Amino acid sequence: MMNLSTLPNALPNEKVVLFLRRHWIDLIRIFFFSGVLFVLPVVVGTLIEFANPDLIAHVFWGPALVVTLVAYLLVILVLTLTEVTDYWLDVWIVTTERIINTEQQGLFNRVVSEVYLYQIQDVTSEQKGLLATFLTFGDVFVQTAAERERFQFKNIDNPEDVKIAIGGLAKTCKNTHGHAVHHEEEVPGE
Amino acid sequence: MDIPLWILLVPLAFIVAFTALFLFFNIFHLARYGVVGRGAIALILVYIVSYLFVFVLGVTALLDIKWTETVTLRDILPFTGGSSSSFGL
Repeated sequence: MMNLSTLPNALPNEKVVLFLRRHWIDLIRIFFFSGVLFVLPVVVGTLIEFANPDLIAHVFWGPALVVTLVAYLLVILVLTLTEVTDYWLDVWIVTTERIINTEQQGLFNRVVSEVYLYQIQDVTSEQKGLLATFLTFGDVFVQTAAERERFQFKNIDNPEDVKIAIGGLAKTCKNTHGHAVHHEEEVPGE
Repeated sequence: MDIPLWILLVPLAFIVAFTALFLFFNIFHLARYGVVGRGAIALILVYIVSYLFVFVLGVTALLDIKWTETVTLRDILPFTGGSSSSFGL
């Protein structure tokens, strides 16, 4: 397991400032869709019982339905757990020196990247949509001078505050390294 | 031709094995890459308990069935005039 107090390749006096996960609404989405899929057999079972009650008591199709139901429930459960794992392992760690981006893409793909705060050129926060505005979640984009994809903090809580925090940390870090930082802000609805 | 009912358990066994493997990988990922804390341990416990719950529930439902019985194609296929004449999908 990863220990926040002993990060890999930690620099001297490096401290964790922010530990971020996706907003809890993503977890609600997962459980909502899983809930619908778990309830589906009840609906189908009721329809079968209504349309053809003999089917459940049938010598072959009765057991076949039970087997299908057990298999279905196990598959849905494991898919739900995989989504929860994906949610749990998508983390962004902001320290006094760098940002560590860890993204779990499915069960067999994992991307870990990091950017040093003095490399940051631009920090952008973005909240799109009614739900994101009300629940204050959204994305934060961190752009560096290097020709690489910009860092994206996906669906995090309070992206505005995170943007300000990263901007402040980057500024402090850049002063140490003798550079300046530029902040950009996107206001929802504009 | 007589077909034993237990033949239905063969694909189920594959699915159980497949889901158990996925459960293992989920737990492995949490244990390997998760951040140290109660959350990851609680999540692993929830995974194991929820899987065992569904598995035991399924086994309980399967135990009520007489798997040693056999069926014929007539029983299975509605258009061959099997024992369940009202069947129709």
